[in-house]
Amino acid sequence: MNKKYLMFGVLGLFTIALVTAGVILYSVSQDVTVNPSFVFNGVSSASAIIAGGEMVSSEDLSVSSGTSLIIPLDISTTPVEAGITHTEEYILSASGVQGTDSMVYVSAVDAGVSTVGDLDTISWDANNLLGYASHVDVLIDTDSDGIVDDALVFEYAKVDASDCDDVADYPTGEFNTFADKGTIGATSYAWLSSGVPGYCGLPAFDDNHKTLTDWKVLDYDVIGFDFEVDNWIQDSDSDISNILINGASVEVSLKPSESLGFRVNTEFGLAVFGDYTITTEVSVR
Amino acid sequence: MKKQITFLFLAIFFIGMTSALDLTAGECSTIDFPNEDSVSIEIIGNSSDMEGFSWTKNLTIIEYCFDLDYKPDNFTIRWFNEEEVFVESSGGGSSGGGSRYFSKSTTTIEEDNSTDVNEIEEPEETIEDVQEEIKEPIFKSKESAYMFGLFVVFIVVAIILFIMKFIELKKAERRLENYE
Repeated sequence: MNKKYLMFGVLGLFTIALVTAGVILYSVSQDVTVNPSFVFNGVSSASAIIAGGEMVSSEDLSVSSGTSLIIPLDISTTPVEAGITHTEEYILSASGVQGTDSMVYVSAVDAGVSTVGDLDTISWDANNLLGYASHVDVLIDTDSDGIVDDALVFEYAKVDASDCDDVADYPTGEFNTFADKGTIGATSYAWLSSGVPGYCGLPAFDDNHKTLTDWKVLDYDVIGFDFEVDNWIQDSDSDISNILINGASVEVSLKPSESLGFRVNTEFGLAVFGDYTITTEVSVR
Repeated sequence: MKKQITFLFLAIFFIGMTSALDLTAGECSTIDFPNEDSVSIEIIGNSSDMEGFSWTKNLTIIEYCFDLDYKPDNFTIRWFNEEEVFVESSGGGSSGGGSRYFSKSTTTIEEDNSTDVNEIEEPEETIEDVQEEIKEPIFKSKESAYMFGLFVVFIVVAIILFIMKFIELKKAERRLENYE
């Protein structure tokens, strides 16, 4: 019985193969469905009656990546008029399983930085709502193969070697970069992520804990910057905005399979009043 | 028995169907082509202007890519050798048949050897120009070719079943005669 079915199947396939070869030997076709590289979530448009000197915040918005590539984002908000300023505020929240992080990514290309030697200053505005202040990982390529191998971590507790591990006064509320410890510059300390984690004074940690000026000597290639919060110490929530690298504002990108939450704060000058519709759009830059 | 034969026919039918490929903007995919000759391309069913789509052919491998900002869409892409062929039969049939191959050019997008998108090229020879040379093709579409193939399979299976039944009957008759 099995031989019968086998014979029928072979005959059928042979016939189809003969006909197919005669008609479509010289062409191939493929049905394709192309999905968008990212999804934009949230209510992106709102109306407001402005009496001058007000600030309007959008609802919380987000973009989610569906691709394996980094997506350079163009977040644009209208209206664009004199006296009206739009500022993106990135919503970072890390909770749950220890080691969870939440970040906004800036590529080195967008920052105009190729190596650590090109990096002079970093700053941002933070509104720390919970836990440990936001920090920045400078992603470096130590063997020049274009792939991130390590990171220089500038964080509140380690950025000033003379005031290290000061857990008692972690900043909260609104401040710039590291509050009482200032912004990132030549004398700011960073530790190498792949090195021994530990406290200031531990020799193995101190060997990988240097100033930006010291790290410039090695002059590693820079791939990008992760401005983030994590919950290695405690659950943390922070909103950050006005990211400046070497004094210049930068555009952000979306990492593969990541999501980025943000809102847009629109400030109207004192002389600006009337009915406005504020609309935010996100596209691939 | 009937269920098994029905399943077999359905399996043969579905083998020929093309399955849709899901891609995300920014990604690439590849497809094999039967020969290394140059090819042209036809896009069927697209609602976008294909801006951000690119493809290259290296030997028998065609790679096609979509830019990160490609608009969502679904369509069929068809690559074919620059001169498309039809199998045709001579009109009267009294000469014993046989086949001749004719070619026609079409409005296509040229083979893209770089990442640049080429413009659509006007055909050198229109379909009307070669209409006189082309006699009626046996198969106007892939679907009719497959239907014909299935019909042939059905006839062959029927003939084989008939022969097997006939042989069984003959064996039964012989057994009866030997018994007697």
